[in-house]
Parts: sequence; structure tokens; C-alpha cells
Amino acid sequence: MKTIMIRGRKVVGGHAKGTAIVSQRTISGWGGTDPYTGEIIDGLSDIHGENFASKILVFQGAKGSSGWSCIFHLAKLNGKAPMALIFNEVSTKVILGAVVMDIPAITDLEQDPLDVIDSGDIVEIFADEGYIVVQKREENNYEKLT
Amino acid sequence: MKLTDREKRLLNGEKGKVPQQAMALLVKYGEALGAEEMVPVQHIYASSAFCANTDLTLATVKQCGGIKEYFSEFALCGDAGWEIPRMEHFATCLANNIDLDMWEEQEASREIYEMGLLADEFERGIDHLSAPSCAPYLQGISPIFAEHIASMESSAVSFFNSVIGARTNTEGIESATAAAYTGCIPKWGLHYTENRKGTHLVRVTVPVETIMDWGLLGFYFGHVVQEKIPVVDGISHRPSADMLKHCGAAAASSGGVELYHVVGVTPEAQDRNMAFQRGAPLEEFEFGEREKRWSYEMLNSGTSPYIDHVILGCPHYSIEQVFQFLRCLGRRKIHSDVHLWLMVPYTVKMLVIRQGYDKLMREAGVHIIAGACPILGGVYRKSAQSIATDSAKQAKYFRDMTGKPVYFGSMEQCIESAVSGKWIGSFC
Repeated sequence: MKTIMIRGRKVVGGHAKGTAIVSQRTISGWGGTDPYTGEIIDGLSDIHGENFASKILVFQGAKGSSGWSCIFHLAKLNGKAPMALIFNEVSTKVILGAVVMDIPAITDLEQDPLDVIDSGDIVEIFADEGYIVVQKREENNYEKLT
Repeated sequence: MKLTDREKRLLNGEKGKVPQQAMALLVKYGEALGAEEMVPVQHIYASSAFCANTDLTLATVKQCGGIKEYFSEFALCGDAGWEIPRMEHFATCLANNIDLDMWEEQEASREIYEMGLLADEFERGIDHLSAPSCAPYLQGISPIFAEHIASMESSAVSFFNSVIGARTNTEGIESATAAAYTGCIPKWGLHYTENRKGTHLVRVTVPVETIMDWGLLGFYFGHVVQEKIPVVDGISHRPSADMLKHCGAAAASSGGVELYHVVGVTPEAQDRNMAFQRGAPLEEFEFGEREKRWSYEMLNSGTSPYIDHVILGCPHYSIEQVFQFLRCLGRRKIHSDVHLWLMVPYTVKMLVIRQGYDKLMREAGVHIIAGACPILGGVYRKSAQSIATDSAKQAKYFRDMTGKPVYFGSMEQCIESAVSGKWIGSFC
């Protein structure tokens, strides 16, 4: 199994290990995410219909309404938050969302995580130390599994 | 982060648990952003923690143990058991989902109405100004040029930044609430002059003269630039505040525009050079006939000629727009199959009553609804077959969120359609 380490910058500290769900695009909170279930409902999303609850969400950044943190915070209160966040674009929406969910989060990675990580890979995040470790699946058959 | 003595005292808990938690949250948020310091703010625009007031909010309030407990856990990220003091700094609510006097017309459930009553009482009890509106500047609650503020609501953020030249990032409910207890917000992003320079040049080559035109323009450039800072040039006709209000709301819904400049109109763009802070645009593109038509077609998904729900006032109508509405309607009555709503801030509704317009509206079959947003908590007439609106933002969200056929046109077209019961809008 191939393992890759990438350095980045801590947003919110902590450690987590789990299965990645990857969106190449920005994610909409209010109006684009169902906080009841953790499902992406934005019709324009490349992971429309998929669920991030208890997974490591890897994505470009946040878009849309100022209710971004609100929706992810409600998901957290309902036990449907992601386990950790890894993203590229820094905005007040995504940063506040990470802070209020209080889950490990990392950005400004040395390699674009969207190029390296595929949905179904196992990702371990060491946010305080500022790096992630990606375990690539032998062959990515995530789609077959889901 | 480098904190002032006052901020350190808040963080040490000298003013109590809630301001301490608020300061701690802002420090964590500021550090994560990479901010070096806080900036004092005197105007704060924070949604009520209950503004969406949906079934999910109801369930979460129950799960937390009540209104106060939910506010503490959700808006403050604190403990349910805390006593909630009054807000230390001047903070105004943004839109709620219902008008407490109009909930039956809005087809809201009694449960939603009852939580609305409790939430309103709670917000007023902590001095959170219960003048809910997505356009608080219409009520005289407004910053001045270059003032640092903390605001939520994408259309308000856009208006404050672009039209007034005040400085705010898009805040969320937790950061804006924290600002109400601390009087500060992380100094980052649009609080700095150098981050406010234009990135994209929009060359306008088609007439942009009406409120509808400005919505089509904003919808197009928002879609193209997403979160960047467009500079609109080539406008031959000076816009009104209501035109810019519509433009900013449209651009914030098709993209994520928090700040745009209009050369010769908005305060940070007296000329093109100033808008780009003497730099060059990264990209430029045209807004002509083709682009204008693209926006129009994106916003119109109706097929059947019949309409039964018309919603005007997104962002909320000013009293001037109410005046124009009544002038256009004249002595005509709304078709009996059509529910027409005029969405306004509370103070505008008060003026409507004072001016005697409410009587005219009742006779004509017009419903005036204050402080509410139909898309925020999904409170609109679910029984409606199709919806018509003069708002690009609302047309987009209705189409995405309800799946109902949506018509977009000018206020005049919406009125004609509401009177006849058939959509008679057109591109020109």
C-alpha cells in the first residue's frame, strides 16, 4: 500500500483517522448540505447525494450563504459532522465552520490534496503537527463499494 | 494574536463566562484565519439563532432543552446551563422566516409560529434588536464609509462593502454573536484596503437602466467571478440604491461576491484606476445582449402560463419601492387565485400603516409581510403551482430548493401577471 505524507497548516488542532470523501469543487452549506443526514444536496456538486458524516472531508473550499457554519454546526449537534476537514481555499465561512465544529482541520498543503487523495483512501490527520498521511487503496474501487 | 488589554480581560473572564467564551471563539477563529489582531466594531448584524426556524431547528432546540439552552450551545458554542446576559454591543437581527402576524398566510405550522414567539421574546430579552431584515440599512441602521463592521447575510455584506464602502467579511452566526459580546472581530480579508482592489473588469455594452437589468447584470458577473472582486465599467445611467441592492444580492447568489465596484458610482471606484488600486485587471469580460439574455433564461424555468404565487421584496423592499408598487398597481385588484406578498422590514411596514397604504393593500388583495424571508426557512405557499418574483436571488434559490416552476421579471411584469393570473413577463 502506497503511503504519502503532506505538510500543511493547522486550522483546528487534533488527530483523526478515517475514510476520505473528496470533492474537487467548493461546498455549499446552507441550501447545499442536509444537516439531518450529512448528505450533499447541492445539484452542482460532484459528490451530490454522497454523505460526509464521520468521514474525512477533502474539498476545495466553502461557497454560498453566510449560514455555512450554521449548517455544519447543526450537523455536528446532530452527530452528522465530518471527522476532519482538509481544504485549499481559506475563507471566513470554512474557517468558522471548522472552529465551531471543533474537528481537526488543515489547509495550505504543500501538494494539492485534491490531486493526491481519492474518495475511499484512508487519511490520518495530525493537525497540531501540521501534516496528513494518505494511504492509497491498492486500486480505487470506492465506487464499486458504494 | 496580539490582543489589547481590554480583549485580554475579556479572555480572562473578568466580564463573565459568556464574553469570555465569545472572546475565546474569536481568538481561535482569528488564529485559524491567520489574523494578527482584532478590529473594534460598533455595528453588528447577526441573524437570530432561530431565524431558519425549521423542523430541524425545532428538533435541535428540544434536544438542547429549550430556547436559552439552544442559544448557548449553538450560537455561543457554550454550555446549556449558562445564564445569558444582555448583548454588550449594538447588534441587529437579520431576516427571520415568519412575520408573527402573518404566519397563517405564510402557511407556517403552529409549532413554527410558537417557537417564533418564544425566540423573538428571547432575542429582545438579550437586547438583540428585533428589527429583522436582510436589508438593515433600509431602516437607518447603517455604518458609514470605511467603518469596520461584522455582518452576516450575503446581500447585506455586499451592500455594506460595495455601496457604502464599510468593511466586513462574511461572518457566520457564531462569530457575529461573539462580536455582540466583545465588540470586535478578527482583522482579516476585506478589513484591509489592499484586499479590496478589483480583480475582474466587466465591460457593459448593453443598456442597464432598471432594477431588473441590474439583477441580470449581477447574476451574470457573480457567476463568472465567483468569490472575486469585479469592477463594472460602461454604465450610462446612474443607478439607485435599490438597483445596487438587487445587483449585489444577485451576484452573491450566483457566485460569492462580497464586494464589487461600479466605476463612477461606488465610493472606492471614482474611476477605473482607483477601483483597481492602480493595478491591472486579472481578467476582463463583456456584459452585452447575449450575457444579459443568458441570465434571464437561467432565471426563468416556468412553462405553464398560470401563476398563483408572486413574491416581491428580495432583498426587502424599501418604502420607495412600496410607493412605486402602489403607483403601478393603481386601482386594480390581485387575481383571486394569486397570493401576492410584499416582503419588507418592520419599519417599512410601520410606515405603510402610518401612511394608510395597508388599507389600499387589503382592498387590492396584497399581503404585506415584515421581517421574513421565504427561502430562509422554506416558508412560502407550498400549495402554489408556480412562483413569480422580481428578484434574481430568489428566483435562483426557489428553482434550486423547491423544484417549482419559477418566473423572473420586473416588478411591473409581476404586477401585471398577478392581476391577470397569467405570466406575461418578457426579456425586454
